[in-house]
Amino acid sequence: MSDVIDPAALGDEDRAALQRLILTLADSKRLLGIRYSDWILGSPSVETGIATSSMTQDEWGHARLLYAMLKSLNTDPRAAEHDRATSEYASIAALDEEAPDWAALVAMMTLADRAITVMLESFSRGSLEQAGSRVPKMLAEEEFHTSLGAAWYRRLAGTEGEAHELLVRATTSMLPTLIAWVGADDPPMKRMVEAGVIEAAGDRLAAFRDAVRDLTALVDVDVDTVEPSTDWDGARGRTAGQPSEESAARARGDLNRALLVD
Amino acid sequence: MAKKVDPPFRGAIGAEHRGSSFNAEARREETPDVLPTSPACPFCSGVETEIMNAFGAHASVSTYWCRACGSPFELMKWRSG
Repeated sequence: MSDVIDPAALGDEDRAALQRLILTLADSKRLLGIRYSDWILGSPSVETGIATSSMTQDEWGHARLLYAMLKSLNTDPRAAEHDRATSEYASIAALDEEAPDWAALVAMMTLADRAITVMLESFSRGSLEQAGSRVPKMLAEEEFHTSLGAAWYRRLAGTEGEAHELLVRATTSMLPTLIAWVGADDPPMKRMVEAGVIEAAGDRLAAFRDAVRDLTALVDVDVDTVEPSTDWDGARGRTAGQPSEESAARARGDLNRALLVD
Repeated sequence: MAKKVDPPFRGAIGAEHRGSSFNAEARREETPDVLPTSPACPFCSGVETEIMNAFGAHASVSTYWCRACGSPFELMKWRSG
């Protein structure tokens, strides 16, 4: 692990870069939880419904821990969680829309969830003490998501017909934006790398490719040749687009706004 | 110390379905290696147990099935020792 940094002592640009990084991780966790929650009912089995319910709770718990890290940057986590416009959400593009079918959810579980985990693994090894202390528990919980996702991915990839085709479609649709996000190397990310907060873009991308290579090969997708999306949004640290308004309303907790307590 | 229940609780899955109401091999494939394969049943202490679901009713538990006494039970995912 690099020398520990004091977030409060960071200059303005480093601070903004760290805030952007924390927000894209937290927002992605929040949106992924919503996507899992859509399948608590309607999953292929009672067991998978229970699994998506549990993973929903995991992701929202992780999101809250990540949002809370903003305090050290003198940013109000409550405002970040509940008072941002949809256009400000920095969650990854793969989660902008709900999974239209179970194969798409399996791809989210296997590829999008794994991309976030790779970023968190790198973040946890960096110079931010809070990441080193909070993220390892998240990673332990993520082992369960990874195993479930991989098992289902193999299962669907091994079929012929519609399920296989839907998995291919979801995989090829998600990978370019995930690769752009994991391998982001714009000035704010370079600052984070220089500060030791996160590892170099090439290392992160290699870790992600290693993690999913064997699985995507099952549907004849070579993750090493997938090109990243080029529509990078430097303000939010994600590719272009935004979650649907309905998704953002759920992420913010609009329906429960009157019930929010400290 | 595990609480013993005698007679053991019989779950909703009847004896005629025990071992066939779910695919144990598939469940095992979905489960990370950090979980034990056959933990002792808290009801009968038997070890003829298998994973039903890596996830459970609470975020912190996994669900197992005891083939000996026909009881489902939960196990904390992260136990010391």
